[in-house]
Amino acid sequence: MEIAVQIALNAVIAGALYSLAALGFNLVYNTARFFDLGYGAVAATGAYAVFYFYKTLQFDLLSSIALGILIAGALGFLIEKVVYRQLRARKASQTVLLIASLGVLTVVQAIIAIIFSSQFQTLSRNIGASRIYNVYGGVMTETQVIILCSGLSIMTALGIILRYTLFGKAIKAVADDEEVAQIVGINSERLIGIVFFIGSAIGGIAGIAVGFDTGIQPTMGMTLLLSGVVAAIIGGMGNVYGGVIGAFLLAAIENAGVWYLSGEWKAAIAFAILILFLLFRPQGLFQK
Amino acid sequence: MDNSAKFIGWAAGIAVVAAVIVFMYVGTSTPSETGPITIGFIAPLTGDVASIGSVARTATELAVEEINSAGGIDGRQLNVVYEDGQCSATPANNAATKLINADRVIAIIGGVCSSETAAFAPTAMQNKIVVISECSSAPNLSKTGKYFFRNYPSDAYQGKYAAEHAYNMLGARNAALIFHQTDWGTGIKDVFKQRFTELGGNIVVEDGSPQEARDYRTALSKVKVANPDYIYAPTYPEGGTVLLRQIKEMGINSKILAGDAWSDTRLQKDVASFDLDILYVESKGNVTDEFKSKLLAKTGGDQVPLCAPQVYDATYILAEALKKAGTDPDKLADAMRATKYDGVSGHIEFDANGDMTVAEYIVKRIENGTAAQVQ
Repeated sequence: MEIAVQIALNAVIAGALYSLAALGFNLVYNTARFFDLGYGAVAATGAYAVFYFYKTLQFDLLSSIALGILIAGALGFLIEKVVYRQLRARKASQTVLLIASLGVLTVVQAIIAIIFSSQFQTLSRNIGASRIYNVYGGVMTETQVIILCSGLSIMTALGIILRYTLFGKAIKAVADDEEVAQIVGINSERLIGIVFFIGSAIGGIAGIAVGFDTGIQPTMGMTLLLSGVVAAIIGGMGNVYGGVIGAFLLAAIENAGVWYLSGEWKAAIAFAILILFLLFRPQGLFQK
Repeated sequence: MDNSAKFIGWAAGIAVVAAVIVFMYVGTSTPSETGPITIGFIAPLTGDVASIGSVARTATELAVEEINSAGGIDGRQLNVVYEDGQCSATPANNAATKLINADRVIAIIGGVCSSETAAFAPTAMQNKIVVISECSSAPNLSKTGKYFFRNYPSDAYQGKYAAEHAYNMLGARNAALIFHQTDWGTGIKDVFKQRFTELGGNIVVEDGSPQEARDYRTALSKVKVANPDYIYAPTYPEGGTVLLRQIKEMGINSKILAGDAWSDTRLQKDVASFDLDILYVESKGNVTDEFKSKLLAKTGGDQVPLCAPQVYDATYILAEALKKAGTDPDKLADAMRATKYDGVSGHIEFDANGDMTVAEYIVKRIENGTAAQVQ
């Protein structure tokens, strides 16, 4: 019994992290219509920005996190302006954009490694001293509770924005058909810029959350990105809510798999699910 | 069409420029019989176990300074090119390729991690480059080749020692195995498991993860329920730090026994506040006070980490062999194999595989940010 509770809790925590990753990724994919691998680098940048402000400059926790999110968003916005927009203006195909984003990921990762070294580092200042909650025999740390709560609130907020605001409707319009959206007066370039900012900021939050939960290293973005992508595909590419459900489902299957088999199998399980979905239900659980 | 032609044109141009640069580079560094003797060095200078790798570099520099100020190798200075292997296969292999092809080294000291050494040693063997690893202990490195040596005992010894110590001295009857799936981690786990069950012990959980895994909670959930006397955890320090943190967070009461990688000073500092019972096995070295004070004067630290005495000795062994045999790879390998050396890490002799003929271990306890030998 106790082990089942703990495994369920582990799945919920992992699910919260994956769904944050999937949320931002999906939002960007939905509007810009390409697989933005640079998203992983943006997430890592958010975490490293917090590391710099919080641990190196000794800022207080909240302003460090706020700055981290802001920097991640700003970087995403900047990359969109400097790289992706130029390519789109030249009518570059999705493949070209994908490869360009792989370049972005590699370059940003390398820069992070040069500045901060590729050493694994922890974000929290007082490891081991934080509070621990007992939930029906399982345990959760304070950090994890915060991650879960903030994850859920961001999902809800994003859901409300997309559904009820003019901005959300404009995103939907651009996602459906960019040309028609432009004809009815939506400035799609500006909108895509904003989407990149928000999506990257959410990615930054995911990176920061991982940083506080376990730790940071320059390549962390890739791992996060992959879980986000798998979750997004399971849930249905471009479907924001589907991504969240896909994330929790992925986390549950992964953790159950590790329980029955062992840790070696985690990545294999995740990608086996991905392949099964691509083969038998490419549109994901929820169609867009 | 136009674009792809352009692309090919560019690619060809870049290839030509790169080739010219490589040739110029290679052309200038051809070794001569009177100039300095260049050797390579590969260790994790960043990433996992970087704190061990960077002190290994310092210890090598120390030995080279001493050798050179005492006249070098028959008047020729010893020159070392340092490369970062990042405790991982691909960077180590790239580093070795560069050392062999561009720097034209005649021997390589390193790597520290078995995954580094396993990756680059075959290339080195093909190029007849003598390799002496100061710290790679994976059992499967034994058959690497004629030019391979290591003055660090194979884990075939360490895993066995850990199992016997756990069963006989610590009274462990049930153990959980949490390990990293690397040449080192899996190798040492297998030996431990075999010996521990032979003695009558029980393995209750066996769970491996990639070296870069940072989430051990599900494996630890199983450990928590099984509640073993000891968790044997041959893991690398970065993952190990997270593992210990999650053991603490999940309120697991089992004691912990780990491998020599945890002599990493950074791990020891990072886990200081966890209040866990942590032991690890390390190769015994009779580190002299003289070496200790020389090294600490250079590093500014307060401990001599693992591999530093070994790499200091490795440098001297290589220098001695070079003095005897010159730079011919076959003669050099023969001279290395004939080594009988009493260094700061103990007595060193090699068998036909280039392995140490004897191995002695000690157990240390991690406490208050540092480690002390358990009597």
